[in-house]
Parts: sequence; C-alpha cells; structure tokens
Amino acid sequence: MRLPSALRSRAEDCSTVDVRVPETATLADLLDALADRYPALERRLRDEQRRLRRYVNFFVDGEECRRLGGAATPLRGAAEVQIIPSVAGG
Amino acid sequence: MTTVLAIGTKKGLFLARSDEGRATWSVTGPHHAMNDVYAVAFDTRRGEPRLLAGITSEHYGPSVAFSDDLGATWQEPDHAPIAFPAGTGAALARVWQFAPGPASTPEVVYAGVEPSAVFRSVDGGETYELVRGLWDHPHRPDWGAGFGGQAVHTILPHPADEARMTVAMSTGGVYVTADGGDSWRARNVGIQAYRNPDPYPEFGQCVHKVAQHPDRPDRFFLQNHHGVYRSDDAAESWQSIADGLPADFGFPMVAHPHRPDVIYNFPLQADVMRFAPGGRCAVYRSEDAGKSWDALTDGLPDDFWSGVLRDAMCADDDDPAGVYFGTRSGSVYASRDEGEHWQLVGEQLPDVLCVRAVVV
Repeated sequence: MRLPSALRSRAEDCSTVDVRVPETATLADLLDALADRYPALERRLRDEQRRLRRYVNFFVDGEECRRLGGAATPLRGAAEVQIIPSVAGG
Repeated sequence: MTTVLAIGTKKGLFLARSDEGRATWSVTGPHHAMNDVYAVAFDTRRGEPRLLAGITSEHYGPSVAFSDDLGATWQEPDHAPIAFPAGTGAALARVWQFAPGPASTPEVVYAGVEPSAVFRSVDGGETYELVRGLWDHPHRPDWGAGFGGQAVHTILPHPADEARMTVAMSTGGVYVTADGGDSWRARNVGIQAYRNPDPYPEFGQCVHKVAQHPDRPDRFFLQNHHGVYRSDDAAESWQSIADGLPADFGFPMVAHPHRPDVIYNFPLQADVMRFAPGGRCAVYRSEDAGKSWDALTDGLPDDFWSGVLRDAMCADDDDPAGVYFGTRSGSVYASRDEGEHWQLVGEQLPDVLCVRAVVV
C-alpha cells in the first residue's frame, strides 16, 4: 500500500506498507488488517462503519476502486493499492 | 497572568497569547493546518488546563486532539476518540462542542456532534461513548439539519447537579435531562419556529445558541433562528427579550463570567440578510437580563460586511472580564473591559468558527 505524505506519520513515517492478506482478500480485508496494525491510519481511510471516506481514492493496481467493486474489489496477487486524496476543498 | 485565546478556523487553530494584561497579543498557528476546528474548550478543572480541539479534515475525517501545555504539543488517540457504535449506522461528521462536566466530576467531558448526538468522556476528553438516551429519543427521526448541518452545538451541564444537563441542536431545539442522560424532554415552549406551519411546535426549532450563568443555573438565554429569549424556569418556558436589539437574528449568546444579568449578543439583520445591521460592527450587551440592550462599538469597524458564528464569541473569567469574537472574514477582536473598548487581536485569518479564552 502506497501512502500520501500527509498520512505517513500514521504509519511510522513509511511511504509504503506491506500487508499480508489471504489470496481471496478484498480491499476491505486489506483495510481490516491495516486497522489492527495502524488504527490511526485506517480511521482516516474509512469511517467507524467501515465505509470508504468520500474524498479518499483507492487505486487498486492503477484503477480507482469505485470503478471496480468499491471496498469489495478483489486483490489479485501482489496487488498495489495507492491512496491518493481527491482534489477537493477550497 | 497570561491569557490564551484559542481561535478555531476553517483551516486550523490559531492561539493568541497576551502576557500584558490583555493589552497586546501575539498569534501563533495554524495548528492542525487545513483541518476545520468547530469546537475548542479549555478544561480548567485540571492542574494544567487541557485544551481540547475538534478537528476535521475534508479528506480524512474528524478527530479530537488535546494539549496539556496550551498548544505547545498535541496528543491524539490512535483509535477514533468519538465513534458511533456499529448498530447505529451513523458516522461522526464533526465535533461542534466540548463541555467539561461539573466540578464534582472532574474527568467528565461532553461532546456535541454532527449528526445530532451527545458523547460522554470519563477520562478527561480522550475517549468518548455515545449517550444512548438522546440518540434513541423518539423525536430523532424528525430532527432536521440547518444550513451548517444537523448537530448538537450547545451543552450546558448543571453546575451543581451532575444528573442535569441542557443541550440545543439545529434543528430540533432545546432538550433537557434530569437523570444523567437516560431520558430527555424537549423544552421549547414559547420559542417560535421560523418558516414552520406550526409556529410553536414541541420541537424542531432552529436554536442557534444557549447561554447559562453558573450562579443562576435555572435561567437561560437563547439566540434562535429569529428570536432572542430568556427562560427563568429551567427551560420550561421562554419569553422574548429581543426588544431593544436592532434585529432578532444572529448566532452567539454569551453569559458574563461573574454578573448573572449580563449577556452579549451579535445581531445580524435577518435570515435572508446576514450582515450586521447597517454594515456596522456592533456587539450588544444587556446588563439587566435582556430587558434593555446597548451597542458596544468603540474600536470596531464601519463598513463591516461579515458575521459572527455561534461559537465565535466568548468571555474569559478575569475581572474585569475579557470578551472576544471572531468574524467570518478572519478578524478577531478583544475587549479587556467587558465590551467598552475593542482592539484587534488578529486579522486575515481563515473564517473564524469558534473562540475560547483561558486565564492562567
């Protein structure tokens, strides 16, 4: 998982985080695993009902997850998930 | 003595500090840059005052940060400090209010949030649990959202009875509990509901702010979405105190820290014309519990086409009291003589959402 600079302090200042999940895992499973390891990071990606935050984009192997299966998007092999905040705000 | 003024804005928290009898100010910040800060509070029941801030990132959601050294360093829990339980289906949008509990419960802090709910902390404001009695209230499906969102923006714990508390929300109105939050009753008799087919419903009023003086805990002052009111019977009924004001619209209502009959208000012309009347920046003060009002303008600008939001006015507890307000155009003013004269603390800040002051 690749992190934007604004979130790296929530993951020991790392720009990338390797997360091991089962072969059948989805993006939601990945975020569940992340919640155990870096709760301060995970809560900035999803709300307390585990819904993806509206203005956070999750690119799974280059495709934004909402054009795939959303949080249910399957992760295939050594998937790369890139977190990019959307262009928003004033 | 040092006075610290916390200024929550649309893009972070600024801290103004005066070490010289509130004559000059220095401003630092932004802390929590690019987060909106709708709620700040100083909890003075501790050895060192705790500064609580409700911060919300447009991208990464809401959180609570606290500082035990007046903003020099901050702490933030890893896990969400305020979170709706799984069965509610709700998610915290932002914190609108912090209210330290009465002195008898020094670790209790309440938070009013959007969507409309109250949370209680028993560890000084670090973690919170939902007050189910209000969340499960049968009126809740009919509470509406004001333009700024649906939120509990006012929490007034009774200063001597920890079981009693008064809250207000937009829209919904005033609710009270006498059993520590297990049950709640609407208390809006006499408050007019603007643009409602029934002008005096049981609930649904768009209350903007309520103030209470600790020496007179059964008396309240209220700024409504059109209408200014006082209750002398623990919110059982409300009477208009708008006569003498140039307009009955506005957002803040502030009680003087020592004189129970003194309150401050910042009128705006109307719902559809949210400017200070005549474009003249003026704080209004009543010294007789709302029977009459005086405009306080010395040091405040003309050609003022801005406004003051519900929590963007406050008083410190010094004597004479300091009074402060911040504008939507990023100016902050202070008076060290109870409103007689005003001076600029800072300007060209982002929109000011809230201010709170502490004397240490």
